[in-house]
Amino acid sequence: MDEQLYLNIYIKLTHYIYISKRMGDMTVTTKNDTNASNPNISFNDKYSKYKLSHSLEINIQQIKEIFYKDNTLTETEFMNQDSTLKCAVIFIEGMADREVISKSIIAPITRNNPPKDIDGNIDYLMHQVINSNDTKKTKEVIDIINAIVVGKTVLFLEHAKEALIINTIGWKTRSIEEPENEKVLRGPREGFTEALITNLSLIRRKLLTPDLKFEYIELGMRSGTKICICYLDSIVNPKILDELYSRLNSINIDGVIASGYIQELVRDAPLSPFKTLGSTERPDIIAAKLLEGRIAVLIEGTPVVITLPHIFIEYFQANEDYYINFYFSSINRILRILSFIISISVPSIYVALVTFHQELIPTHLAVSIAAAKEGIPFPTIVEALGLLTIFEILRETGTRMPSYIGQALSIVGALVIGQAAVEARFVSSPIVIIVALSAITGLMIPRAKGAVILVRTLFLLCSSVLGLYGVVFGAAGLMLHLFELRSFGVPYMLGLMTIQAQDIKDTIIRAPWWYMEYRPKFIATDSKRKGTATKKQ
Amino acid sequence: MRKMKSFFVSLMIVILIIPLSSCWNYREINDLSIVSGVAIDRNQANTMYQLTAEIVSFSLAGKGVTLNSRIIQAEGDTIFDAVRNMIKTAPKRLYWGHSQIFIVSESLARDSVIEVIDWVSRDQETRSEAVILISKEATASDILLKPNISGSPICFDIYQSLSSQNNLSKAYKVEIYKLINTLGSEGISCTLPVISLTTVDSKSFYEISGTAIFKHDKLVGFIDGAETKYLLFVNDNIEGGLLVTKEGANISQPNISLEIYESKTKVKPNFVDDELIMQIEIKTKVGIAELGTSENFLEEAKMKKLKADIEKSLEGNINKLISKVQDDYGVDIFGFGKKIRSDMPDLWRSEASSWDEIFKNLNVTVSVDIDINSSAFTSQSIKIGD
Repeated sequence: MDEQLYLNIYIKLTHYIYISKRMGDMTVTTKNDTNASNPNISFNDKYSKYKLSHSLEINIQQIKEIFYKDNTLTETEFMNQDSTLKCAVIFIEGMADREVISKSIIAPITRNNPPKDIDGNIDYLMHQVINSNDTKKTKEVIDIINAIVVGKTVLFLEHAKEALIINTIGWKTRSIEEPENEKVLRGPREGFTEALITNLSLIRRKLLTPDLKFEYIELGMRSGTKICICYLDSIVNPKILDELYSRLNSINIDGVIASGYIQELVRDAPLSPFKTLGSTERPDIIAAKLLEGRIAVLIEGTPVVITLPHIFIEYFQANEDYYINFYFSSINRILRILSFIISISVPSIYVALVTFHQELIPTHLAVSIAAAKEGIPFPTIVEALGLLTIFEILRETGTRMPSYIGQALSIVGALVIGQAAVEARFVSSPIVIIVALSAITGLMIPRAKGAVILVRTLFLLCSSVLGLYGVVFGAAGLMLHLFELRSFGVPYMLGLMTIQAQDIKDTIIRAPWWYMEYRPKFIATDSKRKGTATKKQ
Repeated sequence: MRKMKSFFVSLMIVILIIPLSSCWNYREINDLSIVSGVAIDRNQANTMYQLTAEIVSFSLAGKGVTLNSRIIQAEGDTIFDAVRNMIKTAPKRLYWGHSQIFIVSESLARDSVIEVIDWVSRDQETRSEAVILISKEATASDILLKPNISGSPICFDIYQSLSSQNNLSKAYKVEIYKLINTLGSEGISCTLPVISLTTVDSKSFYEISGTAIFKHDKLVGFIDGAETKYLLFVNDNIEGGLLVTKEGANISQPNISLEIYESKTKVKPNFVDDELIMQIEIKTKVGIAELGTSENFLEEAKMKKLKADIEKSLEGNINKLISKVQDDYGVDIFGFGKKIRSDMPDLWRSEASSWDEIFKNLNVTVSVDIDINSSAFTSQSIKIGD
């Protein structure tokens, strides 16, 4: 129910933003001044003909004209006991909190009897009557429009040429829950929501220091989405921060609905299958990344927060690694790295061995593979590509379909495609094992899913043409690509280029905390972890 | 113009892909017949090589696949000619990468073994880790044809039995690369394991026992399984096996088996009174594995007696083998010449040409030191109550 309501409100919100860029009282701080070339101004010109008047009736009429064909706009007129204060409030149903409006605006005014005839002196209401901690006076119609669309309430007073904007934002948001796709056994269970301000408070609660900075900018010509850039001022690398701002400011896009939009527009090597920006839904991960000198980018309307710079090893680092015993987390991390290698290379190595290098298979294994492949109509590469495709189809179906169809999918997937295909001798059983192994290990690092599928297929094609030479060429190509990548100037394979003790501590294994004296190189300005994070040098 | 250019580039790519995609050795594993082993004979009538290959074949039966073997025969003027002639009768292209066994007939080996091993070591598919055996049967092909064990390929079984010979020491595995190495080195002669057929309940089975002795590349004779064990003692290649009291003809001990755990042999050429003597010192650790009596041989006195008897019998047997080889074959299969070559290079340089003669009359002393250090699970003998 809540979600439904939220969705409706969200659609409304974006609809209003289409008409008007909401500025309201949100302070926009950008390092580079973008207002000069802001295309949103042209939308505002449309409303420049409206001016506030002394007449309550005309003012109401004007607002109604602006919000024509919008039935959610609610307008209530009321007055106090001796009719000296004749007022009206205008707000949008669903965006504003009705109870706050009744208790803090209408009730004090209706019970109030001003000592003398105030005649349109709205300051009296603002300072002495209304119970609100966020009230503003304005003369501009455009401010009023921007305030109404975000859920604030506008109060008009008879004879006053000004209006009061009272913060009554009360739209519903999802409650804080554990993210479905980033569950942990041990660790905090909070996850980000779609409300930016809630997300900021989740981060702030983990890092109680004024050193933590939140800077807003707005993106999206029509959506005007609020984006928050978050970092620890004393350890963030200012070069990376400047680079981020310059990239964000060069974005020219209609609307920003999810973080993926920003991600694709800001990242390095946009055509690489490997992620050069991280993303998470967990505030604890964000706090840990900020402490390493990274920058987080939060976007209104999405629970997925972007972190940068993002390096290769972050695929294999899980937040839980740092919450549990370091032996266990080191084993897990080695397993993840191993899984990645197995997942991308096992099908291609199998195809190479079976079609090119039969002498490399131990004799008895060669015999049983030959036995299993007896009477199979397709070449091994066709079997491999076909089954991998079928697996990807099953995976994608499983992600998108309603959960109550799950059983049918598993029956069809496991029984029909697995067992029946082998029994009917359409495919051989070893390839089913190989594909299953590759698929399971591929699911171990869900974040690298896209890259794994692409690299695995490329390796397969290479090996089907050149055998193990092909796999070697493929692996060499992959290495060249990975070592060439940069994320905001930081080498992508940071920590994996040498075998120094400092590099191994948080890459292949997770060393105990007392050994991790330094932050990752290049990312933070100050790489010493302890005691130096209080003041900017 | 740009469009034309890109069109031609893509056309070229497509045209090039077609010839280039024919890979140099792309072959699906199920398009190959895996050869498990081969027996090589020479047809006495027309002097052509006769190859009998065993290939692994499968039959689809219901859900599963059963493993079978199939025999293919072909003749040819050379080995490779015969190999290629097999294609005439084979269902698929033969694949030699997993061929583990090469059985050579006695008559062919008496002519020369080089004719066989050159192809095996030269061809890119065959492995030089494959083992080579000499057949004592009339033809080598009998080894593959006569045993009527249905099912899995015999050659894999032969390879397995040969590999587990280190617990018996009555034959030993000689890979083709080792044979080639020995052929090329001075002061040592080649030996190869021997395979023959035996009959159990009117069914034929293969039996691996004994060693074939070569002079250069020609077979000159055989020693049996027991003698092979003493050969391994001298060569310091023994890894296991048993020492049994009955082996010594003059030992009056009950039936006792001693299992060899570890053995170290030192062969040292030495001059005693201006005469070259090979001193062989054998140190062996054994354990009592079987005690066919209720007498307790773990008592010191009896143990000492047992030790002395076993030492004596082993010394005697080794001496017997050495003099047999010296007198009957005159071939240095023990590698004494090699030892002299490394220990006394000056002597070797002057005597190398007449080594065969010197070997025949070489004096050898053998001293064995047996250390009985355990008695397996129990330290008692089985008692008989009154």
